[in-house]
Amino acid sequence: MSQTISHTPAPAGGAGGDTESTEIRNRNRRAFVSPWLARFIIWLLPLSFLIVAFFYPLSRILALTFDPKALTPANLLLASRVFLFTLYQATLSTLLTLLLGLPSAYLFARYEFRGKSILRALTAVPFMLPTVVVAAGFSALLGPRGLVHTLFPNVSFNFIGTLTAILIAHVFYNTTIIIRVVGNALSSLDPKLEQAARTLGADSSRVLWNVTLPLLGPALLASSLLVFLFDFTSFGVILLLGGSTFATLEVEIYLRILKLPNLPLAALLSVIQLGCTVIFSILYTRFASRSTVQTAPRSAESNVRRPRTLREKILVASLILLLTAFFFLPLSALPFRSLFRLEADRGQRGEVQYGFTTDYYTELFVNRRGSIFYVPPIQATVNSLGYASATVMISLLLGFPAAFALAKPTRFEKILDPLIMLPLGSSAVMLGLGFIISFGKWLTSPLLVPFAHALIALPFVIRTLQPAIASIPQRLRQAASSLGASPLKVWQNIDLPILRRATLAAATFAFTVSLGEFGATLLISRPDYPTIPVAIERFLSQPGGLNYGQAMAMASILMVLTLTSILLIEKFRIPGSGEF
Amino acid sequence: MLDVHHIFKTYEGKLLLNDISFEVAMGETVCLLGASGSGKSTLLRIIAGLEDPDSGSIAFNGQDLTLTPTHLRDFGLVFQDYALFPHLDVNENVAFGLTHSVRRLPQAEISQRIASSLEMVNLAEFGDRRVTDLSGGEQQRVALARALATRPRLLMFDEPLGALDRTLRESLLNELRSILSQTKIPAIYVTHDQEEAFTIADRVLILHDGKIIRQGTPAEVWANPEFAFVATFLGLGNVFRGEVSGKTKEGQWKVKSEFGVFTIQCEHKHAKGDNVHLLARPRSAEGEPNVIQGMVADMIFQQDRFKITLDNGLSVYLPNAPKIGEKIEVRVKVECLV
Repeated sequence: MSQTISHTPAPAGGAGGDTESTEIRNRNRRAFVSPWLARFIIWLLPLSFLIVAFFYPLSRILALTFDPKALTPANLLLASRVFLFTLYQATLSTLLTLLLGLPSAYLFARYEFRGKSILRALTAVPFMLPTVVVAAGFSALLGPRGLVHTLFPNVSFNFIGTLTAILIAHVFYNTTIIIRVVGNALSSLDPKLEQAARTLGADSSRVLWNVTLPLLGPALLASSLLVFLFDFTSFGVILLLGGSTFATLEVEIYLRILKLPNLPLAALLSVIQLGCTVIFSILYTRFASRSTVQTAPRSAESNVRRPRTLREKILVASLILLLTAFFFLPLSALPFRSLFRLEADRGQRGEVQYGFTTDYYTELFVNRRGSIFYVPPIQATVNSLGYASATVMISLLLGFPAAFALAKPTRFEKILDPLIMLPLGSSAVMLGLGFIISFGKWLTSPLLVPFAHALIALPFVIRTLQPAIASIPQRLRQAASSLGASPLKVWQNIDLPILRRATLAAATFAFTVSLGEFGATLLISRPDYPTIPVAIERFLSQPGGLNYGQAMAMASILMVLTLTSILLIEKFRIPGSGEF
Repeated sequence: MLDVHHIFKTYEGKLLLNDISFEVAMGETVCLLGASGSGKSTLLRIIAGLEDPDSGSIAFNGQDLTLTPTHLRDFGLVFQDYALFPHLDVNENVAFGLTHSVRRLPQAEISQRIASSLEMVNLAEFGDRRVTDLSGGEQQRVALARALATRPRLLMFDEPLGALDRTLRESLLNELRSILSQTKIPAIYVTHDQEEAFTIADRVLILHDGKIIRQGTPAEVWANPEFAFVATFLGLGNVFRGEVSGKTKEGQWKVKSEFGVFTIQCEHKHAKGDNVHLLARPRSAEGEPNVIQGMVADMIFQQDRFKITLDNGLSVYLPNAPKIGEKIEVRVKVECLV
């Protein structure tokens, strides 16, 4: 679960010692190829891809931005208004996330209670889910056709289309970051520091303000910035739960491409967006490197305990209850709503059969006339799986050479490293915009989608493979050959087992990224080749109970697929590797 | 002053402290000596209020403190790993108990106390340094100054010198001794090192299996360890088993062991066939009735003497080096232990 927590380019680790470059050098000596040529060959494919798929579109966007047509007073005014709103909602979301995250971090770091690891895993689930699934979950619970409204018709409130919905979904998404980062810092904090403060006469609030919080400062700042970054660039949640009234930079870019076309304005907005993410990422990296708290490896004594006083017990119990409800209800409302008919389907006459139904799933296999698709909706699942497989192949093909080279980087490659991670910092909608501007004439080809997905997945793939490759210790190889193993046997018994796990993890990563990708796909996928997230968005935007039910069914399928992938990644991932 | 009364504490189902009672008098330094896991640190933490006893009470000057939270007890505690606040400099660390606590002191008094505490630990010039830049010995002095600045009514030390090297330990220990005698603050000092304990303590309490099995001044404990465990733990000499085989006309006991028969003078009431422990002090002593013998297997030069290990495992001290393989006989003092 930790792989996607931090977001910024970390410096390439050369921790594995003298591994790959030595091997490459040796191999080269045998082949009489200069090391420079070897490096060139290694980089040829990944760099060409990045230049064509990312830097060229980026340059087109920049060119469009600094066109006089983009920099009109009206555009600048709108851009600054949208920018301010983005800033506003991200700040508000971050504060609310801290409001729930900090007590939760304290709960997990300091208290022992039954079901703790399950609750912790539950709070981490949303972060790994595609935005459409989260949006569908909240819609299933609180939307106009959701559980609360249909089961209690007298309750009247608006959720979908409000700022509240956006904020709550952001809190739902990112609380786990605070729990993880601040919680880790809190539990690695030497308990003796707080105890020392108490023996010096500090009561518990003075200990909190003068010892605990100052020591947590960097971790707090780093995690808040990360949350802020995610809230700032959030797209799916805002589009699906907020609607176009709450246009952030991301949503406005999307609107200016598809709904009210104005490509120069879209380009201007995405440059603002990219600039902000790069600045926030640099700040984050700076704080994150300082967030290692003074720890006491010698004190094995744990500061985790059961709640003791009645007040403690009540507070702990209510927080557990709140977290369980907050994280469980939207996630369970979704599959529930996909299996229960609570309202009339569109155009349905006579008796409505309320209650359990599998119609929403079976309907996915039917190609209705006048439907929003030209194919049975289940085709979206097939498309998604196909795109995801293609993404896996492309990103592994490009990621392997890059990861090998970055495992033991030369000085030139150390400069290259952040550039390769840059697509991670640019928003999906912006990547989509770049594709549209640069490859407009190929938009009819379904092949564009896996390339866009591979661009997004590539940093993840490289960051998963690279530490595994670097971790293959040269000494292990030497030991094996000194024991009489041939080079082939060494590769078979040492390199391969380590790489196989990492490769599987990287592949599953790419697969998951592709399955859930929403922003770019929405812009570049052909109407007759929808992916699951795109299909969900279309179902949700249609009236009628049947469409809604099918959205729920699709989202449930996507949720199950994603969670399965996450479990696989956790299984294959080499412990301690793959932090971004 | 401090009254520790019938403290019981179980930890993970194991009885860690089993009915511990003792007192600390005005100006007295009491040393809790025990092997690791003997519960001595837990006892200290209970006195500090950082942990609760299962039963028993803690009182100071007759006032019951068992339910008083740590920050109101006014007991200073110095940890083995210093526990200095890494985000504060030396001055701010020392000032912590004066500025961030329930105490209300005028600013002048605070500055004066910081200065005098740092002076007491010979760190007068260190006030503006970052604590993370200090050496281990300096950090421990800061921790001591921080505890002294609050003028606590009791000072506690939890293996304070455990992380330092030998030379530093000795010099810091002597400083600590003089500070404690100057300030007259009663103190409890926890350690597993008997040398440290004997150097600093007015009174030593030896903790074993959750109980205080022996207490007294260092000289008393050294002269009469009473228990086989105490003699072994303090490294007083050769401890082995024996069986009472008879009584001499002078009222001394004859005790048979694998190292020969020894004549023991003691106050215990023994009967023939009783199992006892014997302590044979390694120093050669003229005029003693008992002799240990064996072949020299190994010897170590120890400044003013040689430590000889015999082939039967016993060890003795001799002023001159014998030859390896030589058969020797040494007259030593042998005592009877429980």
